[in-house]
Amino acid sequence: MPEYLKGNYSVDSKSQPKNKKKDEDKTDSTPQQEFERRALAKLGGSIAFIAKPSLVWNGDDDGEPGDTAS
Amino acid sequence: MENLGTQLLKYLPQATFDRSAESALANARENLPYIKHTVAELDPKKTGQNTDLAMVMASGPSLHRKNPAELVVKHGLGGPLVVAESAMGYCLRNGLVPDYVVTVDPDHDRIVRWFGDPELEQKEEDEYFLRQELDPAMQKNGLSWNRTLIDLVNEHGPKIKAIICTSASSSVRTRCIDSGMELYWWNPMFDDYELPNSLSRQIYELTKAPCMVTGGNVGTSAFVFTAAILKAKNVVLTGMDLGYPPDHPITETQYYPELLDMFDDRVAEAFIPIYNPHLHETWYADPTYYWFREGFLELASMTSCNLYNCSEGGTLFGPRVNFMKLEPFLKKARRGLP
Repeated sequence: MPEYLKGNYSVDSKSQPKNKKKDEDKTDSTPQQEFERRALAKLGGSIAFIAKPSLVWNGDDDGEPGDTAS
Repeated sequence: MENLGTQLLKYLPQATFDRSAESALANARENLPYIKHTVAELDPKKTGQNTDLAMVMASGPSLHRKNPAELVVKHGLGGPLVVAESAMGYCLRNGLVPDYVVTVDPDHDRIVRWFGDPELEQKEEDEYFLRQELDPAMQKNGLSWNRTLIDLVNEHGPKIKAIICTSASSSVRTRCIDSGMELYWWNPMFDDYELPNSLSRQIYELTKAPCMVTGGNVGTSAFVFTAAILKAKNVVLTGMDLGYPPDHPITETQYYPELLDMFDDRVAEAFIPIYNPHLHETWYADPTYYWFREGFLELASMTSCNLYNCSEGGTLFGPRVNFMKLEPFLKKARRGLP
């Protein structure tokens, strides 16, 4: 994935995926790392999801188009 | 001890970001010349639309088992009907024309099937649709249903507003435009817009469309649109299962091939049982749908709407969710809701 596409996404995981080739992963990684690699490669939803206090963000304008967070 | 499925949960946000961000951003750039309207224009203060009550319809197994369209046609709804794209065909063939159809997934070939794909007959069969019973009409006679769906969507498209994510593919965008739908765009909330290097901020700057939290799937996105943009006071859910019925074979679930590849003969351990106390049934979810469920409940807790789940199936229950049957709800709605 291009560097600019990484955004600032981070998850509550002790280790982040390494930029290694698949073959290197298979030979060097621990079972836990291999599990993580396979999960990251195969699973996931349709589109990114991060929970924020506001359900909608309209740039830095406040209040529009409005959200119902209460 | 966690089962195999729950061990996967912590990886799903990153996995989803990794698999969707690149294509979503590429699609957003391609969609740029077509972004004329955004969902911000659909605020009821601007449109005057009455949103005291709105229905959100997804396409879980309960949609076809319980047939909510029949009851909605019989009793009426009295508010907007917001559907996931995968529920639109079901509605149209049952005499219901949705007010809004929501689409979010960047996939180029699969999602357009829900709108009727004019190029389907030139494509190879997709195992994704054959293996799962996503819509019985589609599974029984795919090509014939596709032709019918094209006609239905073309007939009713001018009455439907497409709530289309900038991540949608050109095939979906073109189908919406060609069928006469009005397109209202939004961005997915990719990441934290308050932190440096935010992709959400980049895509907002590119498109100037509001960013909306997605829940990772189209059904939850439809709910967020209904609660946060339409500001519905009462939201009723149908077909929103986020899981599979007890009698549904795991081999016909969405992520079975991937889970089988990961776990081989232990694949059954990757599925998570969920006892629904309202149904007195134990449904189950794969890790991704379990993550969707948890995400939906978290987002629901952030809204101020009254939330009714009338799917009559599924895993979506909790303190904020009034789980009840659809017909009594519709009768109650006719007498007046809070």
